[in-house]
Amino acid sequence: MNWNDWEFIWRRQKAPIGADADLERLRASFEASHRLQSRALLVRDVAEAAAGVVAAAALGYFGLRLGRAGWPFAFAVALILGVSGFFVLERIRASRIRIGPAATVLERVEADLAEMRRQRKLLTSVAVWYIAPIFLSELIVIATVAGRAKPWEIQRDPVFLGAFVLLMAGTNGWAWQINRRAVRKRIDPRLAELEKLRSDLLSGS
Amino acid sequence: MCAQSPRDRLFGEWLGEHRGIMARVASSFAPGGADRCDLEQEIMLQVWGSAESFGGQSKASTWIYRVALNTALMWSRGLGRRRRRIDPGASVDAVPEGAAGPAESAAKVDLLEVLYEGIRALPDTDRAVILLSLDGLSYREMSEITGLTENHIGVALTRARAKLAERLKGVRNELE
Repeated sequence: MNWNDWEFIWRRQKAPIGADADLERLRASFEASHRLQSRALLVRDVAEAAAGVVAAAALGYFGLRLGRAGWPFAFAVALILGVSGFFVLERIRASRIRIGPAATVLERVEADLAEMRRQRKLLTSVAVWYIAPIFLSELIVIATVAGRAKPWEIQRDPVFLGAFVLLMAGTNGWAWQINRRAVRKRIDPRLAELEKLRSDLLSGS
Repeated sequence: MCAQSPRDRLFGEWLGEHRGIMARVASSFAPGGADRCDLEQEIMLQVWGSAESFGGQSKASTWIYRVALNTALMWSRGLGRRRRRIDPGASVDAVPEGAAGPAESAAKVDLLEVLYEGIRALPDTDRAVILLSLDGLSYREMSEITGLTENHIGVALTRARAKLAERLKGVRNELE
């Protein structure tokens, strides 16, 4: 059999009948998945932004209660709000670069690749834009509270302070590990798949 | 009875004229049974969803091929991940699903299914160009769908055909 025979077999296949697609079911399915996706995105975005705002509000409240001595809390609040702002800006940026459903195959692969690289960059630099500001704000709070405490109070106890800082460092280190793991287990394999797909598409050999 | 929206009307027309594209793309990427049905449904869903943004900027068939291939390629990547989770050592292409034993295949060979199996055993990008070529699209049309240059299409198609011919050689010998 030669290529023409295979082409003949291909063209002889029966075309399916269009009537068996249920428009109502398609619409319901599309709307349900669209609704679910929108809700998931909204919950994620609100949670990410709101967590920072709530934490900043709480810190602001305690800072105000400390009176003039609580001024360093302003830096802690600014750092946390900065992280929230970064989240919001990233979401806006990501939503702007989405491409249409009928992009060419190459455009789609390149867009997916760009999005995956962006996610990788975010996760690998999480120590800079997320963990460091959060850790710094925690240190500011601890130092301010310790500075205001009486010498005999536990907040001034070096062992307590050391343990507290270690606990914070451990929590942040754990968050960093989770992100590294996500890069290794989730992002890198997908990136490799997409890069292979792109290279297969463009390879002329 | 409620009136059809413009999107439903357009999709209805597309189903009438181009339903075969969706079915052939699904069959080229998904092995038989539930997977094929799932992918075909997903393609229809994406095509229906995309109909709202179709403004006649390209031929309907080009639009549908793009949406269908993008959906199938994404589905295929997801399938690869799902299979790796189940069995990290398994090769997706090692055993074609529904492959018949030698005695059975000698008795009855569904050539179209053999062709589909051969296509499904190819890498994703080769599948796409072979499918478009078998559907009789010109290099220009294939270029509009894939985003590759016509020269690239020519090279990719030659390579994909060679791979497919190699895979179908056994069947050829069996029949001759």
